[in-house]
Amino acid sequence: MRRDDSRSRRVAIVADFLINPDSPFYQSIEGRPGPVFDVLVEDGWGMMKAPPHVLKESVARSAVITTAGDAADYLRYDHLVVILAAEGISQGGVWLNEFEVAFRDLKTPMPKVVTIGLDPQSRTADSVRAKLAEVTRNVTANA
Amino acid sequence: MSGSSRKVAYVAHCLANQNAKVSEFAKCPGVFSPLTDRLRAHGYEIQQLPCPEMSFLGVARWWQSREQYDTPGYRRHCRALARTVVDTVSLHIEHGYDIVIVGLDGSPSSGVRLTSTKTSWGGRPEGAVAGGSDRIAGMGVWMTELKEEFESRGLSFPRATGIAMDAQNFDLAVAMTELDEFLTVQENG
Repeated sequence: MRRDDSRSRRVAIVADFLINPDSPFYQSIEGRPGPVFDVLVEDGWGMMKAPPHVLKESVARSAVITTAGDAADYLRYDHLVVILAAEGISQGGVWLNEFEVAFRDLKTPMPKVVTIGLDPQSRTADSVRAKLAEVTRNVTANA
Repeated sequence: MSGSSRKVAYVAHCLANQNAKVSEFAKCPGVFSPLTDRLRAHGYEIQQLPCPEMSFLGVARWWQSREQYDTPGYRRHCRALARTVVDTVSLHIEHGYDIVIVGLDGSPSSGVRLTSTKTSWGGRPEGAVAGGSDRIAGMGVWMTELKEEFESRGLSFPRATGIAMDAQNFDLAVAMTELDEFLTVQENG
């Protein structure tokens, strides 16, 4: 019997760039995201961080297959799963093409994708929350 | 690579996603922020290890001890995940990062300094309700396989520690002090 605990049953698959934007891997990217990690923490999202988009494709694909498998299991048990991509980066910086293939192979619908802007107007917690709210009405601060 | 300004921490999956925990063990909604706050304060980028228990048995799995996970099939699963992790770590090695691992002490899989034991568990799962597993020194199955994957490539296993947040007597303040000391030692090289 599964018993209640503090888990949120809300999980975000997140682009590495959105979590580690100051990594030297991303120096050539002009824009910067808002405080995505802070919002995830404050609003009680669990994170499944996607591999860096600069990683070798075959390595990333393997990681994506594992993450998609976890996500499919969460969906079976009524969790909310979203994918957070970065605007203007190849595959959203989150290996979207690989996730589409992985979820198709699992016969599981692809979770909704939230694209986080990198322009100055998008760099606020409120902006990040508004983007998340586009795909779920259940997002509230300090959930 | 000690003294590098580039630092990355590979953290046990559940430390950034409590939804992956076995039932009753999630202590917060999502990210265990006392850890991530400290890592960021010390200048660490955050990478997340996969959870082999989650991908092997799913979110509705039973409680299990290290002995129950210690099977050739589960070790093969862990080793397959470890290959991808070490491939990813190699990217950070190539770019001169200091690398640390933060596991989940007391976990049958992700323990670094402590793991679980309960040789009597098996069969009808209600036995676990009578009492949790015990703690013994040593690594969990996943950390053991990850370490062996590093070593099989001629790489040193990164400096590693663990957070024992599942322990009944877990003391957050003490754990965070220990973590600060661990991260400070790394900074001082």
